[in-house]
Amino acid sequence: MWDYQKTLQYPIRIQNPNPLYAKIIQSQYGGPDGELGASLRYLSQRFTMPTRELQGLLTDIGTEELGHLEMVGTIIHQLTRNLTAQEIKQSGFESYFVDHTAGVYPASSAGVPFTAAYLQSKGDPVTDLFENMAAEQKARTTYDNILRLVDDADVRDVIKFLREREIVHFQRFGEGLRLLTDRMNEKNFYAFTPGVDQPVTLNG
Amino acid sequence: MNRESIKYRFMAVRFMIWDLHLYLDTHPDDAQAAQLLRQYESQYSELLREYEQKYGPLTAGETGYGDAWLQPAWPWDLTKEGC
Repeated sequence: MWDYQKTLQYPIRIQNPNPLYAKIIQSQYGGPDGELGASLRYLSQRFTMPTRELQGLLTDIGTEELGHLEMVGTIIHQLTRNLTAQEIKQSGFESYFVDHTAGVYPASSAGVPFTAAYLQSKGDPVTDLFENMAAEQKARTTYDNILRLVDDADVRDVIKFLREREIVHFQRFGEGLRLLTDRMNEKNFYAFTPGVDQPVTLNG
Repeated sequence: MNRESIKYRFMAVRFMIWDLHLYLDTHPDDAQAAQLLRQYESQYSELLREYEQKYGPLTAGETGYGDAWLQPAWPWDLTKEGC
């Protein structure tokens, strides 16, 4: 279970509303490489992780991703306050507004609703850890793209923090993968499914 | 310290604990990192107690219920005491 703490992981104080920026950043809420997919991916995969380190790592990173989901939602919420009809139409936000008003909804920037097809839980820890490392890099690229498109200092500061966390998580997943392969037969890392076909403690 | 600076200090210490915690998931035998985490942990407890005594509960549970929990700013609010 989880306890809720009434703080963000990193402070967010966006002074200037901007619905176009909200629409761009939306993708990290419910898009293909967003925080919702990240949290569900790790929190689902952890059940079949074969070592205590990996069970802990996926629980913890999955938990942090829920905090990031809250942060991205907060960015969108603060960017879409006090909008006039004219601002909504001029910014290209009207296609979002007509369905959701200023509600925070998990969809991509292009309006595609969130789907579990964005993630996999394969039951093979080597496969899952490679997916997770790729996922962190894809999210890092998306944050880089956001930084190319957004020039508001209050927003960029938070996006840079989130981008940095993708790099830290990539590093931790890489270490987790190494801890796993250290315990496997080095001639057969990819020859079978460690979670099912062979116990991962094959070499003791 | 005013409300904003104690909150930011609290968040910074909390983040240090979290990041060390993640590091220790893959380096469980690193005694130096564990020691550092414990140092931040004692700062965290003090800051949390100070904040909650002055400004209300941050965690749902023993102290966080009713109006004391509901009325102060929520993390997404853009107010001076927000985030």
